[in-house]
Amino acid sequence: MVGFQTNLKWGEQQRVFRMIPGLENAEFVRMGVMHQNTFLNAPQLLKNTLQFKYRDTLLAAGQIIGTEGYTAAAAGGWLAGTNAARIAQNKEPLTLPNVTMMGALFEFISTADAKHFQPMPPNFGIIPAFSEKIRNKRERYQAYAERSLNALALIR
Amino acid sequence: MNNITVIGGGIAGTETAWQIAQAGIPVDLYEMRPVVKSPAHHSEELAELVCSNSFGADATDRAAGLLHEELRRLNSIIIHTADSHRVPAGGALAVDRGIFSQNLTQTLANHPLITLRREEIKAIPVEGIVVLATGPLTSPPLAQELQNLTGMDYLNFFDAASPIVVGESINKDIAFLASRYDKGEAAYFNCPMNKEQYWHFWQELRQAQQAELKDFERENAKFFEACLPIEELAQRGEETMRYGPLKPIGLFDARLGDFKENKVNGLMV
Ligand SMILES: Cc1cc2nc3c(=O)[nH]c(=O)nc-3n(C[C@H](O)[C@H](O)[C@H](O)COP(=O)(O)OP(=O)(O)OC[C@H]3O[C@@H](n4cnc5c(N)ncnc54)[C@H](O)[C@@H]3O)c2cc1C
Repeated sequence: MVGFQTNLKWGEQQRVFRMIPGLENAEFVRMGVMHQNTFLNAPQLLKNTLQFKYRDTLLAAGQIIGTEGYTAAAAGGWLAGTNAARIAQNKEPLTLPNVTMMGALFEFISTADAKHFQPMPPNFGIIPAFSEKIRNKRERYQAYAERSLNALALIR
Repeated sequence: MNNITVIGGGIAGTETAWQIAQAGIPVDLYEMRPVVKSPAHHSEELAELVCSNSFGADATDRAAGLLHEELRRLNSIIIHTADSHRVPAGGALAVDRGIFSQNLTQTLANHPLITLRREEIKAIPVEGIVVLATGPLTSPPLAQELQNLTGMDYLNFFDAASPIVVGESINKDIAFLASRYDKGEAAYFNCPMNKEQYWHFWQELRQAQQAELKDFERENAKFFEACLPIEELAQRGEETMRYGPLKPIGLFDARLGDFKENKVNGLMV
């Protein structure tokens, strides 16, 4: 929501913002927050391998690259660690398939609109949609999960 | 083989150092605590959970849960340790935070390829392979260095974040796709409000309850001025939002005509 940075309590945000016409049933991926948070403008600085564009041997992970949350930090740590090791062994750095939650997250932060860049938690909105839409939400998310885990089984 | 340097022994840095060591490569892991304190951490353990003890929902048809499962299959030490020290929490993966962090600290400190160094890093080493994982509360000297290295615009200090909503959950019978002044692609959903809806929204917004800021955040609240919270705008007067994010200018909807002429308020989502 453009220009809607807010420090309201989360329940209040849902209640008040759903009064906006068109947002009656809006599903929130992330609530507005205000807290100290140092993070890099990843879309301008990083590749989806978590290497810096200007220096291949410098990588970054965690909240500082604009992913949000503990699990996302672990995910970044996994990829940055794996790729740091691969660089040391003269192997190609790994890019994760964008149908996985991890791959989608790093694809998002490295290609997002740099001007409005904000930390992003894992969510299904950043995963590429199926060409044919599955109407039921739980079934759709389950299908995303299966596609992701199948794609993951093919790497390494 | 030269050691790889990992800066920051939080959640990301712990996983990073472990994966490097698992690949058989020696790693120096730098963590500034307890020598230098952070405003949010309370212990000297690696991978301290600064707030909640929950990693989020664990079912794979939930975003957090799918990420947990991906990491399990990739042998993430963070998720495996979380699984081992799980506490009941409905459908969520929650842990005993003390044991979780102590266990990770010991496992890493005892690994023959990992050297844990309790030191604050103030400049990014120019030689070798380096991973930066200093988190949302990166120490001020290093933040300064990053700013010098990348340029002012590349580093954000205060996260004044707007909510993000799923596009699919917006009612397209009401909202319409457009960009202000028709610039570029029509990249935003705009939610038109009439006068009455606007007034009602404004009333509720200015009375809504705010969250508490932490002490260290209140000190830094000077960052607020550049990016005022919407409720603050609402408190300044009935019209203030109409000169800010809700300005009815440069928007045209086939059904409603030009917003300004017809006194509609726009909102980009
Ligand atoms: C107040 C607060 C509460 C949060 N609550 C939650 C929550 O409940 N749930 C959730 O999922 N996410 C939460 N987050 C968001 C985020 O998930 C966590 O901050 C998470 O710990 C990020 O992991 P990280 O590895 O990037 O950073 P951290 O876990 O913070 O790790 C960074 C590490 O680097 C060290 N360090 C910093 N600078 C230097 C330096 N110059 N030299 C050496 N070491 C250094 C720090 O001491 C720290 O140990 C919260 C964030 C904040 C700020």
